[in-house]
Amino acid sequence: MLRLKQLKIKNCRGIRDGPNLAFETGGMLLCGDNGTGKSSYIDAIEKLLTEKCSSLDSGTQGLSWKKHGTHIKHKGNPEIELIITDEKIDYIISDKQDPEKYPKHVVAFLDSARIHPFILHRKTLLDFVDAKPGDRYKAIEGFLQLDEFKGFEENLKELLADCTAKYTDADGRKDENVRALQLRLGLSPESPVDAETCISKVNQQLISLGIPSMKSLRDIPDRVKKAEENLAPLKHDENLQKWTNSRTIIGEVQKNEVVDAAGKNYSESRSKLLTKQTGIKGHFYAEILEQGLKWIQEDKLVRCPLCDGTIQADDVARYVEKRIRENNEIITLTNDQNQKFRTFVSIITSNRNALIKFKTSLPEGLDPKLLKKLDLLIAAYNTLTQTHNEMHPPEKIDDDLGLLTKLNPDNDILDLTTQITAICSQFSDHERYGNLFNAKTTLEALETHQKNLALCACELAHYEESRDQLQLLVKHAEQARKNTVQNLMNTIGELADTYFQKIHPEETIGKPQLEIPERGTGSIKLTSTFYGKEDDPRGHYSEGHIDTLGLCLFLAICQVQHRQNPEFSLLILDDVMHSVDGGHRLRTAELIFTEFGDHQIIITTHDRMWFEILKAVSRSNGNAKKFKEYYLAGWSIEEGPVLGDHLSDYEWLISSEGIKSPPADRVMKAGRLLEQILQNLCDTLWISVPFRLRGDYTIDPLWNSFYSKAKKQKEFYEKAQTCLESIEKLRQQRNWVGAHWNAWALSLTADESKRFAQSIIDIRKYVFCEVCNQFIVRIPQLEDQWSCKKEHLKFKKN
Amino acid sequence: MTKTKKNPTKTIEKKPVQSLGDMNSQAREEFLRLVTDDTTLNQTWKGSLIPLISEKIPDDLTPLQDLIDGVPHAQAETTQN
Repeated sequence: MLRLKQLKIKNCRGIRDGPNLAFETGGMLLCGDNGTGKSSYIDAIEKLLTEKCSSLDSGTQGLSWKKHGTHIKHKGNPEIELIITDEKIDYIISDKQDPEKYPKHVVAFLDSARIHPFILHRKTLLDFVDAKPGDRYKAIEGFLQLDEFKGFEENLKELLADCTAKYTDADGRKDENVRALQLRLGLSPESPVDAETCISKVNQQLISLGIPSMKSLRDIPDRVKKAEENLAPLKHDENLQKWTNSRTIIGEVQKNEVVDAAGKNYSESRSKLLTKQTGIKGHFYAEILEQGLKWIQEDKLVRCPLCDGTIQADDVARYVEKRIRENNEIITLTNDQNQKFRTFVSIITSNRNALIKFKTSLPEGLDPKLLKKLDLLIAAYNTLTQTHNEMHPPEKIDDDLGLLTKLNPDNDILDLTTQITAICSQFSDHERYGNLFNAKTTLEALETHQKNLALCACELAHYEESRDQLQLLVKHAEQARKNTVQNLMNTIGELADTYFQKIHPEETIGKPQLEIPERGTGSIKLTSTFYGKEDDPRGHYSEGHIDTLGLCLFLAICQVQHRQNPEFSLLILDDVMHSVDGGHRLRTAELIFTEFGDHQIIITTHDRMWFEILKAVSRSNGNAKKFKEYYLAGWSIEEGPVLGDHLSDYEWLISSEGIKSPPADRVMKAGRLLEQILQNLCDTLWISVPFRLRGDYTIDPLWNSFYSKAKKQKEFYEKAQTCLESIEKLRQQRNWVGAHWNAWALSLTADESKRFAQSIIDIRKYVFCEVCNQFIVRIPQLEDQWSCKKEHLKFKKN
Repeated sequence: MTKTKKNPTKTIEKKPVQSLGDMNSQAREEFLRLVTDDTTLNQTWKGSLIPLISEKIPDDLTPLQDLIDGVPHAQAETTQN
């Protein structure tokens, strides 16, 4: 498993030339006041591992790594090298290295760093809690890893589109057959083409020729046979057959007024649609608007779940109604345009095909001038059909219709028909022959078109059913994806709650719930419980509770992604604990080092006491891993961060350096240690302290409350009486040197300061168990006994 | 001693997501459950779909395409021919 080993850094953010940082197997703890360069180190790590720096590249106008990543006194690029190791080989990560030359496990490590969240900054702590629901989804979308299933969903949608296209195609063919039948039988375009209507029309022809009428379509083959029997004696000349056939074919060409009317209908319909569309701005999502309005009204929503903006329900209702009305008009116009386009294309295609078929059917002997006109007409229809295989502006349609009309096609057709009729009239019995031939071809056409119509009806029913089935499958696939993400959200919520309860035990708050609302797939709603009430946590939680909730959600997301990819185990918390008090901090530290014990952990803080807690917990018995500890004592623009002494106040006081130090230094550190001890004891022993805003307590109120309580705890007071009284007597020294430096501090003797420091070192031995690594706690179940977890320290009340 | 093996398509349990890695598989199982429970889906479609998705997410949906293309009397002549 790879881990960070060293960070070498120059001219980056607030850092001039180091100091470089080392990381132990457990990680690194870095403390420093605000403005000493802590976050510069984290920014550098983030930039190298993720190729972005969230504090600069978050989209804030004017900020960028390119512009602000370099130290203000430097003109080139920052120089950053991060050494990572698998304990056998060290690898240098820098922007000068070619990523393709890294071995596979290093590439995988870097890939994971880019996808998975592992850095939490102070200013991003509440990003997830404060985010708009849509942004919350975006925050985790990158690692949801549903690509394969989404691909399957896309394939289902493609099948649905294919099925819909086939339905439209079958519908178009049905229309073609209807029109062909109407033309062949001389029916009006509005006339139905059901069997009864067609049979009635054909029977008129049959009766006039002495052929028995039909009762059903099943009679067609028999009547065709009868027509052929009547034709047989008349077939004395092959040419008569050919010319009659040609005349029948040319009769299939629809008149120019039909073509022109169909074209103009299409042009007008298209023009209406385009005019309507021009007047409407933006995209229209009918289903979203309709559903959205329903939810607003049903749920009485006053804030938008997507953008968190205010909702004026009446305005929304009016707007949605207007958009839906407009959209319905657009749908109607679009359907009308599509229908008329199909009709127009069908007619010109049919005419072109009939003309070509006519030309190939012609026997020799036609006037060459007429043949030339026929060729011009065929060429015109070829151009027309090629041009209008897609939609054009209405002006183009009108122009093309005008060009066709100029050719006067009806005259040409009439000339051709007249000449063929004249040729036919030279043959005896030509009229009866022509009528019989026409009746036969009409019967055959009726059979073919009715068969096609039956097939189309069959196809339409089949595709309609397939479309319904596929629509259900697409809906189920979307729901399955949504449910899966919801399951993940539940897991994250439950894990975050487990963490939250560890930090806030026995407080009736927590249970964060992340919900994917039914109304959309791309947003997450966050609720939490506060004394039994489920609501937005920001409405009821204190600042400290919201901070820990933000931290717990982040940790839960990290933990879930770590389960997916155990090889990447890095966690960085950049100065995130701010408004949380002593006891909660201790439990937070225990949570981090316990739950993320298999991670390399990097934590920065400006808070010396939180730093001491982190050090103590990270060194506790349960944690075998080592942590590097740094303290940044200061910063200057020329030198950057300056490393200082990272020992805790207690470690310093008992060190040889502490013993030899000037009295004022000793008193200052002893005072700070006392403050830390008292803050913890007031929390663990449930000692009431007069309220201070943001928990900003000074020594005096803490000490007075504790001392008063300690006197009542009989066994404790008997044992610790000497050091307690000594502290009570000497604690003023703290004010002389620490909080209010004054002339009195100069008169402080080494002996007095040593006695003060020793009293605090002594009292620490009574209240802090080195084995359990915890302060004594009050145990109500044991008659308010004060003891550590395993009773190494134990003081009964009476 | 005899061993019995459960039919994986018949025992669909809702499991909590333990990691992000199996999300595709979770979504597939959830889809399988929704399809199986849907009484409005017809048996022919279910019969073609369920074997396809019971083991893994299919990248080939030919059986469903065949259902779409399997028009009754498709051998009949059409005007296009």
